[in-house]
Amino acid sequence: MKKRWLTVAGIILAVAIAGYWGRNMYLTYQQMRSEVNNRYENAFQGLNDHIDDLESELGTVLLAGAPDNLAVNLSNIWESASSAQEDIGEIPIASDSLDNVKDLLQKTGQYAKHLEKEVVDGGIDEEDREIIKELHNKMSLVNRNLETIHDDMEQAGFRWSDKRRVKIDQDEQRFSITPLAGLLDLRDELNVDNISVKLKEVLPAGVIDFEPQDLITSLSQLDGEEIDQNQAIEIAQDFIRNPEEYEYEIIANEKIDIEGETVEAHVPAHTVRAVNTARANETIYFDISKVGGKVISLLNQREVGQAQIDEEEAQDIAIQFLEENEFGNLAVGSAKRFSDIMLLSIIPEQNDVLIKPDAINIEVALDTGDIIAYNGLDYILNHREREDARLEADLSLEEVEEKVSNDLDLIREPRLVLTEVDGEEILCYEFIGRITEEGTGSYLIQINANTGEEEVIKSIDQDFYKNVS
Amino acid sequence: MKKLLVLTLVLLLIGIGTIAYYSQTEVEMEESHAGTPSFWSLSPSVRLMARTVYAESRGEPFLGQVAVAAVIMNRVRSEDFPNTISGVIYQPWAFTPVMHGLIWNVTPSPEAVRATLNAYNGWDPTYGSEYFYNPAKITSYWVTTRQTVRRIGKHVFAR
Repeated sequence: MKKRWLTVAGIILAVAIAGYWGRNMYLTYQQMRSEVNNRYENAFQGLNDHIDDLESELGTVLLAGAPDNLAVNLSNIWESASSAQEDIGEIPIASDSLDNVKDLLQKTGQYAKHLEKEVVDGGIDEEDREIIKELHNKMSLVNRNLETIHDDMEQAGFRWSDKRRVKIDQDEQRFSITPLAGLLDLRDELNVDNISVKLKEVLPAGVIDFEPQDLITSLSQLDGEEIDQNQAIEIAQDFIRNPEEYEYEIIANEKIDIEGETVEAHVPAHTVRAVNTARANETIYFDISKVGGKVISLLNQREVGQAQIDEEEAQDIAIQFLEENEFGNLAVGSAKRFSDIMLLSIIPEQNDVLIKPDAINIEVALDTGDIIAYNGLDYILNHREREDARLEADLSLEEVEEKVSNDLDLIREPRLVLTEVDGEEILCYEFIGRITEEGTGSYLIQINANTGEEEVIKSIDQDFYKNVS
Repeated sequence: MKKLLVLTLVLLLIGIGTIAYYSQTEVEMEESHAGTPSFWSLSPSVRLMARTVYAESRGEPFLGQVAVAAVIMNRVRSEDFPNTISGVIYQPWAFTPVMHGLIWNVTPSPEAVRATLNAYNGWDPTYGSEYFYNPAKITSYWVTTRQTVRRIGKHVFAR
């Protein structure tokens, strides 16, 4: 009899434990769920708020008379636009769902930033006023729409946490019946083409990148003839120093088989794989442009051992390597060390001016001095002979030097560089140094060699390292 | 009598078993590459990127690892995605290993760290791709509507 009671007690205990545990799990789950929902909701609310701010800030700019009010509001616009963009990134919707809203935000932000630079004194002119009016209209359209969507969501008891990443699409009936379908209407209603056209008319080139460079198209329009796979292998062999140590093969990449379906690939390069015959885990991948047969990149998959050579030597090796491959007039632009690898930016010179848009990146393994990575993309796309006149400075170094802050302790001789600012190549004197006394952080200042204007000022620390050690 | 005892025991065992099963983390632990000094000298956002690259592309050829890292960089630069590395990586549902928390159970191999830095410094085997997927695992087919750039290892890269 006693035994029976024991058993019954045991069962009750077991059930109680399981029940208690289950209840705890359930409560935790509920809590997590609502936490997730709150975070998504917060992001969506944030988007609403920032769009609302943008609408009123754009309105304020239209009305502001005083230049300092104007400047403050323009910088607010830029800030609100970028906050709204961040909010969109935190909402669980497919990345192409709010395409034109993102487009509008980006253009508004860039435009405000540009105006802020232009109108430090003096107001905005009629043309700009027109554009701001237009942006203001669009922004209030988005604002109204988002508010309606938000109302619908709340009334329908919509929970973000119930959904996986939401793809709003006419084809996907599942989601187009939710309140979020309002986003679909928004997409149809909001047309930003008009604004793009107007912005293109007033803005100097490069402020907004209307047609971002399409690498694949640019690479397939290079000068030169089309090469075949065997030629690609020969080019790869010519490029490296010890071609006899490797076995070569082409990785076919014209057609891709995706789950039984053949899809055409658009890679503008032949890919050559070279496996070291002595060391099996050393493999080099080459991308060689199908048109023109240029080496776009080289990546050597291998472990790097203890450094045997120093940083100076590595620089000489890189320059020598490029010279063997018939690149001329080169200088080391920057050198960063990561463990036992040296990352070098090598820049072509013309008339003693560094042509920065043509930079070549190279990695040298400090154990054997091998070139383990090469990136010639920028060189291939940009390199050409610049007009001599473009490389002559109107101002002397002495005239420009006065403009550089006394707080900058130069760590390198100032030099003339051709650099790209807002899509335009500008001749500048470049000063690189540290802040006096504090001694931390390196900065780069580029001053226009013709007008004396400060074009670029930025920190150039090795930003992939942490600050504390 | 005996039956009842057995039943109790069975119930108890099941209870304990379930508790033990669920209180364990469900993720498999990877062998960590302790003593990879280079990983810990990275800045936090680059470390996050290296973790994601490693979790997404372990077992892939080096070129494929650089390519995954390059997609992250392309997204940072794109106006359609957040403008920071962490914004891109933590975007809801963007990267499966991030969603499942797998990235915190691994320490990236030196190779993944190198791949991350290569992409960070401009190498891009994907020529501007903003998407990649494993065709064997894909559940929604909308990514296949994008222009395919290339396939490296198991991953297909698309713009």
